[in-house]
Amino acid sequence: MRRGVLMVFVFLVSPVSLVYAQAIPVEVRVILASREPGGRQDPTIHSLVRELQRDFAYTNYRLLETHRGQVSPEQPWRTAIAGGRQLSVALMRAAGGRVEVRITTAGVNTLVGLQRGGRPILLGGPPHESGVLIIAISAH
Amino acid sequence: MMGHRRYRRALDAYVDGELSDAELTRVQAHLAGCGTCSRELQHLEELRGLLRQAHEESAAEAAPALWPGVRARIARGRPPRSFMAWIRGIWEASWERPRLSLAGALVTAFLVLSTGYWMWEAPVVTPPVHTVAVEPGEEGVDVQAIDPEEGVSAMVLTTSGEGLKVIWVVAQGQL
Amino acid sequence: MEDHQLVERSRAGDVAAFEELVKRHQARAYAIAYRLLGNREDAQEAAQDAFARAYFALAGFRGTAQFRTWLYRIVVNLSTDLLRRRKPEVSTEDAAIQPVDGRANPGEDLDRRELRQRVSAAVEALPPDLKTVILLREFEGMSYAEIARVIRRPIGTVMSRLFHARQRLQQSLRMS
Repeated sequence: MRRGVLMVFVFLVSPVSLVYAQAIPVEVRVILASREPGGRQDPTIHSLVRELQRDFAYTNYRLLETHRGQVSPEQPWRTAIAGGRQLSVALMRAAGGRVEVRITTAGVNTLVGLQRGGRPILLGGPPHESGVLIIAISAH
Repeated sequence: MMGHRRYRRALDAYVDGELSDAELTRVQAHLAGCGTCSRELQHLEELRGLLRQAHEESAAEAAPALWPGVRARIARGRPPRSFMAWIRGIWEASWERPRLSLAGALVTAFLVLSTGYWMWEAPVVTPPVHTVAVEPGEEGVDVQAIDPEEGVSAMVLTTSGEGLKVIWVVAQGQL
Repeated sequence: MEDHQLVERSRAGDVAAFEELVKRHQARAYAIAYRLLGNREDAQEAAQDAFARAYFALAGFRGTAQFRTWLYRIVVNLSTDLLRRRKPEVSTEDAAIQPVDGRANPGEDLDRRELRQRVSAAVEALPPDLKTVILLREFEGMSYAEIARVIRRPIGTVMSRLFHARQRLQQSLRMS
């Protein structure tokens, strides 16, 4: 009973926040895809690599960096990634298990819908060293 | 005779409807008194009639559906641009801007030549993928809008297995 | 949806929007390539290459010109490139065209189909520069300004080439 009162109190104090104040954890994995020989596969990107190997001619996939952060409506998340690039993720909408984010990096500004805990969106093509970057962005 | 030749040249623009009102009046006045030009006008109009007929009757030459071939070429990636095509592009583009920029274009061309032409054979920038498709409203990931920067193109691809969405970014001229 | 809207969506990566653009413009693009190159296979190749190049160049398409004009420029360039690589320029002297009897009134005494073939052959025999302006003017109905933008030359060049093209055609068809 007391907890119920407490929750009502919290709700009255921040009427908007119940839906909007949530901070969504996001994860960015920066993968280097190239045709270089050798290189050991990172097990954390194993399923992604298997998928990409189906269609792309790159033979070598190496996880360069992993970044984790939080986005909320008031606070976009910015981070620096390989190659001196900036990446920013801004939360536009969140409803149920679905989020809409605006991702800016590598020359594009894109509006994407993601399932929390679901598949990532991949941004590929920017050149880096001997190959190209493939940036996997997912929401948890 | 000189003036007459000018009118002869104007006849093409006359039949093509490309004369200004003032020019039109002058040409019509000339035609009223010049048998040579009137005959020439008639020949021009007959020729145009023949061309129109030939065009109409061969318009049935139906185009095959080009999309599958276009899609396959897009999937192969940006084709390499040959050096000469690039130079010619600069030359031709200079016609669209004030003549002064031609000097700039020539300077650019000279600099390019002197740095060695093999550097400018841009290799193929490729997302070699089998499928190129966008399925909106699919559960999971959907791409709603992409706003590329100046000089950047972006393609949305879907992999053939699990259907991962890939936004492939290509910057013009990148090596 | 208007062309420029499809272009915007295509620039944003919407391949389905680009497919729609292809469907809208493929007939005319193919027709231009076919007229310049003379056979189906080359025309199809040139037209498809043109659309693919257009797709990759969309980021650089300012949107001030019409998409159609810009696309035709690519088609014309690719086709004339292909022509130049295929064979040296054919002069009208080499072309085997039987001139129509100048005394007969063209259109009379001749089978319509035969006449159409003569006209087509006469156009076909024009050198690429002259053939291009005649195609764009007579078959695509483009204005001088538009033609100038497609071939990237001044309007004076367009007028001069049209004049010479028509002179040659009249000569081949023995109308003057």
